Amino acid sequence: MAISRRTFLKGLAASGAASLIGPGLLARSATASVSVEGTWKMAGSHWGAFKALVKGGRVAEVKPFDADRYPTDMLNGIKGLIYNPSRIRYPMVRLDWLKNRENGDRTQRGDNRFVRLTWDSALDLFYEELERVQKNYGPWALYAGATGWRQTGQMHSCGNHMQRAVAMHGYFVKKVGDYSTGAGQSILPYVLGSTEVYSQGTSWPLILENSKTIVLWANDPYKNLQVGWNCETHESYEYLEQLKSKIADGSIRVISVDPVRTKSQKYLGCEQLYINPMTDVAFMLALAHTLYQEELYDKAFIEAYALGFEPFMEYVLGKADDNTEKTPEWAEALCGVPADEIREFARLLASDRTQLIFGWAIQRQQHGEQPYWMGAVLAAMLGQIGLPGGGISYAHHYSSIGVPASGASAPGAFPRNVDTGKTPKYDNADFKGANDTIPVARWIDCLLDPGGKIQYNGSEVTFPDIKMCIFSGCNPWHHHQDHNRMKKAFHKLETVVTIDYSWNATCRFSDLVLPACTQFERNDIDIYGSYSNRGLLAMHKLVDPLFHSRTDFDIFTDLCRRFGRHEEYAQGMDEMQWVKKLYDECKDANSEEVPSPSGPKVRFPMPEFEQFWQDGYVDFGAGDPWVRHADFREAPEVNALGTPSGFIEITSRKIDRYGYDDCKGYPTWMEKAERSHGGPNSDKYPLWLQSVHPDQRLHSQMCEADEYRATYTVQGREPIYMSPQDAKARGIADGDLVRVFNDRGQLLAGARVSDDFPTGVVRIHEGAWYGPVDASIGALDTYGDPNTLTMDVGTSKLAQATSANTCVVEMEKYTGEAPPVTSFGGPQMVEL
Amino acid sequence: MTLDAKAGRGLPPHTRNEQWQERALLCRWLSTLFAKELDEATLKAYLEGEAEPLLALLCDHEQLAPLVARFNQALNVLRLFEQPRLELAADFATLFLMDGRTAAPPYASLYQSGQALFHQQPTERMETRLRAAGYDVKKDFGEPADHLAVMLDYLATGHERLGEASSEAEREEIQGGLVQFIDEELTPWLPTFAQRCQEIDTASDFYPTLGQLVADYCATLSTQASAPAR
Repeated sequence: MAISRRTFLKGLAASGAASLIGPGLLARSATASVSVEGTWKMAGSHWGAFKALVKGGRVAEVKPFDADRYPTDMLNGIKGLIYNPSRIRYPMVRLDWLKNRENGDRTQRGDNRFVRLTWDSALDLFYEELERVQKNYGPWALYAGATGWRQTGQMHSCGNHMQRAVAMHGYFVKKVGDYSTGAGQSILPYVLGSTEVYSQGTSWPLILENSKTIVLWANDPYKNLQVGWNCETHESYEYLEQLKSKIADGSIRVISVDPVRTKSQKYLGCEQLYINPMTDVAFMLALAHTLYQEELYDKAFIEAYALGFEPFMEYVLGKADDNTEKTPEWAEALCGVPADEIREFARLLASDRTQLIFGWAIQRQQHGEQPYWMGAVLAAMLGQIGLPGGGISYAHHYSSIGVPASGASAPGAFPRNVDTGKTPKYDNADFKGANDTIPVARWIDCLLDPGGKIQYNGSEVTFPDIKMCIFSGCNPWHHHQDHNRMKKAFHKLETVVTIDYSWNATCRFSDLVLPACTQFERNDIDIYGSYSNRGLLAMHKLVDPLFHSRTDFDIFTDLCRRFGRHEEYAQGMDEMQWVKKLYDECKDANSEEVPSPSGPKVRFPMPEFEQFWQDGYVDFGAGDPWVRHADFREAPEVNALGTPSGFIEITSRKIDRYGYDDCKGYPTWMEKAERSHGGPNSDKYPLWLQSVHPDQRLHSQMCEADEYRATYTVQGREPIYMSPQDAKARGIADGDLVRVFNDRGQLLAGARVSDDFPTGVVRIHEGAWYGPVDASIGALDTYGDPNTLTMDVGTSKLAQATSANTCVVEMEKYTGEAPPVTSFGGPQMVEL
Repeated sequence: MTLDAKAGRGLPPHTRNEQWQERALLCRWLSTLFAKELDEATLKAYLEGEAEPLLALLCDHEQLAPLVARFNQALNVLRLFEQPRLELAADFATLFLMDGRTAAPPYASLYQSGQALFHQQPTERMETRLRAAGYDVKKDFGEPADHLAVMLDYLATGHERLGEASSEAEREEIQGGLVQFIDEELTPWLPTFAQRCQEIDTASDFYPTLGQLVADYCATLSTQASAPAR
């Protein structure tokens, strides 16, 4: 018998079907209207400070902070970051890992199904894994050491949050060094007494006033100064503009020693001295040879300020074991610079005040310690270290180094460590004979060879048997070399936890992925100008955390809640209380009174916090010019360098005693494992691949911002820059897709043919997101991450740093059907 | 009472009120399905055939009958799975929860022409609509207003309001608004969404079928909502 519609519906309402219908997602609204004008808020970033118009809870417009006269074009990518379709929206867990945990199929990692978790379940799992690893293994099995270019902000700095929380639970393996300057920061303390790479340098006004010759050695400041470790001020650009004028009027000569015509060279209109890749040390040895033979070096300076010149010169003159004199003719065969030009260049350097300014990419090669050491030796021979506009710098391309510092105190940060007197829940620091700290770029070696031993900076490191890794705001699947080797290493890991805001490859290769919000979704405070300390910036929360993302502070407070330490973790304060505390402590530190004509006054006056927060900025004013190492020059005994002897060490007895074959007692030329331009392996792979810092990203940050990325990609792929000759020889035209390959891997990139590049040199900027077609070893990278091709060996036994720029490749026009780019999406699925 | 699901088929024509009531039910049911994964109890209910009355209502629309059959077949296959809830949750994640580029993200903003970003004009327009109707998205849902589940819930609410309207003029205004909403906010992207649901490899056909069902059902609403009812 048919029933009526009404009866049917009544029945449905009372049946099990009704339970399938949820309560609804809408609530009666309390808000009547939304402001149509919106509000301008202050924000900071690695790319600089900016103001954001927030309308209806959304960032509608971004414009540079008024004080920034040289804002970077990358601000155009900010909105694309916040609302990016690659955002991680929920805590996610890899399905196979959820089912089987450490007994699962780890070869699926990177190519697997995920499921969503509630925050509670996700943090429970995270905590369970920490417990399992500390209980079943010990601190040696946990690596939470990798940290990177976190989003800016002193309160929310994600590495601090991750490491403090994990350290409150137990000890773990840490790293030493970084990918940017690993070789430089290891060698220079032996030579000049500090890392130099992260030190304030001679102020630009003094360089502009005193230098007659500036050598930009493998250095592209105009490109790299767009970003800073803290909020970047871009004040350096004012000085680059002045330098450009001085080059034009002939008062300063600037020479870029580089295989490539750099962005800086083109902007400044300066000269270029072409050199074959990775042969700078040979070139410099020949310069030393000329300076010595022609008695152009500063004997008095060497005698007063340096040690170990003689053994080094014996090597240069061919009286050491290798019996090879480092003449310009000898160097010419390697570096491609005619011998007479080498001599001329040496004479130029010695002719007047010369400032050497090195970049960092040159030390990211095998034996990367050597060019930095040799640069210091050259500077010592020129005798101008400690003079305004003379000597050597290793960092004028970084974070506005060279802009006079205000002298104000910067704010502190949320603590990275456990509070004094407190111990972790698992107070077990027994690493079972393994080291608790490993050189950062050797962690894949460590995963592949647990128990293995390497020499490092004068000691022996025994690799721990790592079972679990935690990454927060750190993307090793962009910054580490040889991704196919990484894949093998990741098969060994039982658990990988990543906290980030976008589905980059590191998330894809993880088991548990937790969504942090971006820095634009939280309140914070930052120094304006990492080295200049120009001011203090309020970083207003522009919008609430998107989707289910949370601040690192919230995430790790709740992780600590699971072992009852959340109060201690947060020190009983919330976000804004922390921001205020950091401000107030900074205000106290800057409250010192100094004399003035009208009586004592506070040197760096700061308003009350509420006023600052409303204004968004406190300006500390410009600082006074300063000369690096002037104090040492003035009184070397009193202001001794931090080297073992207190002097510049041209020969290091300490390093000599280590007995390393790849980093000897003085700078030497060593052939590389592979090298273009006639070097090893160049018959098979004739092109040098340089993977320098990108022009339109901060490492891998902002690569996912589609509209902005489209301003530089070629057919949706990362560009590979090449010379017209190399392109023509391979039938490649500008705009073509090319397959770039060597024995380590293969990738697709888009050809950019440019006269800026010489034959045998190609460039792919690092930071391009990795997106293989599948999880197999050797799979084609669909977007163009150069670390698919780079070599994963340490620079030497001294620094064990990255050698990314020792890399040769071949390329061909890609004629097949191009696979879609997988870099910016979540994991691809295994075949079901 | 027990309900014979099959009894729903071939029901006598419904009154206008019943039609609105049914549409509200179906829209909210679909909204529930796209809002989050099934929990164990709900999945059990599906596997025990509790959805039959709802499917029967869908079968009122002849063109949806093959999809209903496909959905039932998907349930049959799910019964063979060892861990059907987890597999379905993984399918749900694969299709809807990972990045917003691949698969079938359930957000209108990502289907706009030009750059695909979250929180674009469709979100704004949806917020304006919700505000005008006196609603907000519940905070704990944590999704923007252009999420498919929110849009379907808005549609359900609209049909409920039709039943509560005090005058014919008010009803006509609401009705017109709903048709316009479907045509302007759902029709432009639901077919693409549905298509993407079919292209992704999933363990079960449960969600791909639902993806097609929601698009086709909304299409019927668009054409029939404006047709006069008894």
